[in-house]
Amino acid sequence: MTNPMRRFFQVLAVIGLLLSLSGCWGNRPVDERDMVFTIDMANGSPKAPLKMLFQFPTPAALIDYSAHKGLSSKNAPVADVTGSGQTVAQCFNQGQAQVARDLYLGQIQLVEVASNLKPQIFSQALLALTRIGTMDMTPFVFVTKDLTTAMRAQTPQAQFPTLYYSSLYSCTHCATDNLGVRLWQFAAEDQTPGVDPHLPYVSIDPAAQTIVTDRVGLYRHLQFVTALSPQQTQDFGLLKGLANKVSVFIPQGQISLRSIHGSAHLRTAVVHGKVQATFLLNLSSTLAGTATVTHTPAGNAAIAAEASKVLAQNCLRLLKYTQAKDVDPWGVGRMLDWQHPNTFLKFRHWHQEYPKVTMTVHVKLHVYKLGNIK
Amino acid sequence: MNNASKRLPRISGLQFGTMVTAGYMAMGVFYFPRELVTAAGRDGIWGLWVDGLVTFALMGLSFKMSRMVPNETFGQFSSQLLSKPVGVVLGLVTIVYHLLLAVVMVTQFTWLTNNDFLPDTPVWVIKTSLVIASLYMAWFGTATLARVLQAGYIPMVALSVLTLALAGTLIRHPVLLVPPVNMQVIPLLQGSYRQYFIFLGFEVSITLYPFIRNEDRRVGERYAYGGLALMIGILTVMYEVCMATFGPAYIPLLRWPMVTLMRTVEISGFFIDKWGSLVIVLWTVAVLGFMAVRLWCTAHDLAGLLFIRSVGSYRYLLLPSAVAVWIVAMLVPNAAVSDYMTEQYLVPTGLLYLSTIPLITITVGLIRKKTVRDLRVGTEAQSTPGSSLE
Repeated sequence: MTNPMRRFFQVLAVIGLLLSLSGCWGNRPVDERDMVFTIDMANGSPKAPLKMLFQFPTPAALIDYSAHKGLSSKNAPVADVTGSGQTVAQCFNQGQAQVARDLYLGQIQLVEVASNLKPQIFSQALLALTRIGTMDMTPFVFVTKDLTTAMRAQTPQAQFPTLYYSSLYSCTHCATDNLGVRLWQFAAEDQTPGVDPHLPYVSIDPAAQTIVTDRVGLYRHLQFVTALSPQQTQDFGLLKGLANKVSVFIPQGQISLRSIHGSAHLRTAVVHGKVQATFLLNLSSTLAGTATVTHTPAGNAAIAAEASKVLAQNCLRLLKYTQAKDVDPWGVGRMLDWQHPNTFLKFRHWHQEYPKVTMTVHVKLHVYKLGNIK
Repeated sequence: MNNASKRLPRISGLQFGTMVTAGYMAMGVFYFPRELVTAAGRDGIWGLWVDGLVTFALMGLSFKMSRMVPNETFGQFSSQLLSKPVGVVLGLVTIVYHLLLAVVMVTQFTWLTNNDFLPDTPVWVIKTSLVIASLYMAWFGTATLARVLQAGYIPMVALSVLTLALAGTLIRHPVLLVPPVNMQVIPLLQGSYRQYFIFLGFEVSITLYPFIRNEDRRVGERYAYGGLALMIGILTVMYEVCMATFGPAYIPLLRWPMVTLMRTVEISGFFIDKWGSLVIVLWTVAVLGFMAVRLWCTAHDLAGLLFIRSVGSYRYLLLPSAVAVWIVAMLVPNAAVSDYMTEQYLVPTGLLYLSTIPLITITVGLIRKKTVRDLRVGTEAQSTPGSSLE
């Protein structure tokens, strides 16, 4: 081959390769797709037990958003299509039938689940979701009773509802407790023996019609059991090491502590065939106020000791509550499996054993005081 | 004599090490550590280390064999040492083996790309592109290929290691980082056997050995061992991060655990926030390098088998090898079939080949000392170290 010919073939080969793997095959550019941001899953009719909603931003709103204009109230920022059927694929087909453009599932950022969703349907849908190759497993998941309201309610920030939730859950230090659960985390907890999954629980304040996100929903396998109260959720955050700015008030001495955060470690032990679970909480907090103006180091230590006792009691009460409900969101069984596999293997059903576990909570609280400067 | 020294320029020790490492790194990395964890649970890490130790031993054996007649490709001296029919059969097995490894790689990566990144691109386009790209990489000969791998491959590995460190922030269960001590031997060996696929490709070193510069042989061996140690290190990190993130119960359910792990790596605020996905796409370099090395080997083994002596024939042998890979890859319908091929045929044949051939050759070499000496002297006369290189 002559030299120019060789050069020609080289250039041809490189260009050909670039074109063939560029992802433009079929000529469907990104801005000509309906990019689904949120999907939700609820029970349908007996014949079509799964009902799904696909929510995507409207083109006009997307343009406004990319121009940093904020969303105008004139145009609807998002559009929904719903579909129902036996499987995720059937629901998707019904949804796709209602729009003229490609309903693209590669950008899903949020999955919302109805609290009454039947476990069997949920399980199948979860598996189907993990098999959507274009979607990575990073969308956040939450559970709610008011499925449609949760995605339509006014948010204080003027942006897409999806972005409200995804920015809430992706900011690990914004909320009181970092409750965000990603799809892969939920799926992994669902599959692992000895642990029950949990999800952030979104409710709607009936008077103001605003979103409230300070609770957590507990599951037994994939069966929704209960949503913890906001106070219990704070203790939940402490026990899971997810707390960022929990506060506590002790009436005696008018002590108020804020910004309680820290790590939590779970240890299991088997003593005379009985399972013991110990939670070690290493917390720090800031003293917000007391009845007295000045404090001594000894007084400070007394406050820390008193607050530790209160927090430990609260946490223990929550642990007992989950034992009564027979849900193990802490993964006591899982830790037992990893630390004492032979003991765990002897149990036929972890849920028969979990209520019998002896729970202990140790809280080590460090209190920072700013002092009271006039 | 089809003397390897005629195909100059030859390669340096580092280039040898890179090519050998590139020859197995991409193998099975996408579904690593699923096989280990499915069979052995948390004990899988020991299985990986067993695999590594076995590979060290087998690599040592194969170097010992290559050192007997260092300037001659195995395909050539085996037929003179072990008799012609045996040599021909061995040559054929080697060629088929190289081609099948390339086919499995194309199929796996094609389905991964198609499923996760390019759902609209037809499968045949991806397969064809991969084959053409690897052919292009191998087209300009040994030294160019080695330099391309050095330039493309080493940075890719470095980037992947950095991304793995970033993936370390996803770890949810640090308790799983500690290797368990109450192992069960049978499941562990099972997992180790099924996962051995990941190291299988190192037999490139047998074909590649005569192409190292004479004075660089020892260094080349050391680089190959170093590459192996590095790979075991990287795989250990991969395993640990994957295990401590997903846990032993979830990994067996993931189709491509390593890919899922990398795709969960996000850097929020960075202009490419799905950083892990980008790194997975860059792994194409590893896949192409792997395939190019396979094609290169097939062409050289073919030359040995067909007694083709001229340097210029390399490309005419490369082309049919690539076409063969392309045709067989088109016939494999999906990644599950390539998985089945691997488990049923490639792993057992590979292990058998890599352990028995060097042992037999070395034993025969000990018995037929004179033939070995004649072969070695006959090939050394034509290539004085360093003189004919440039």
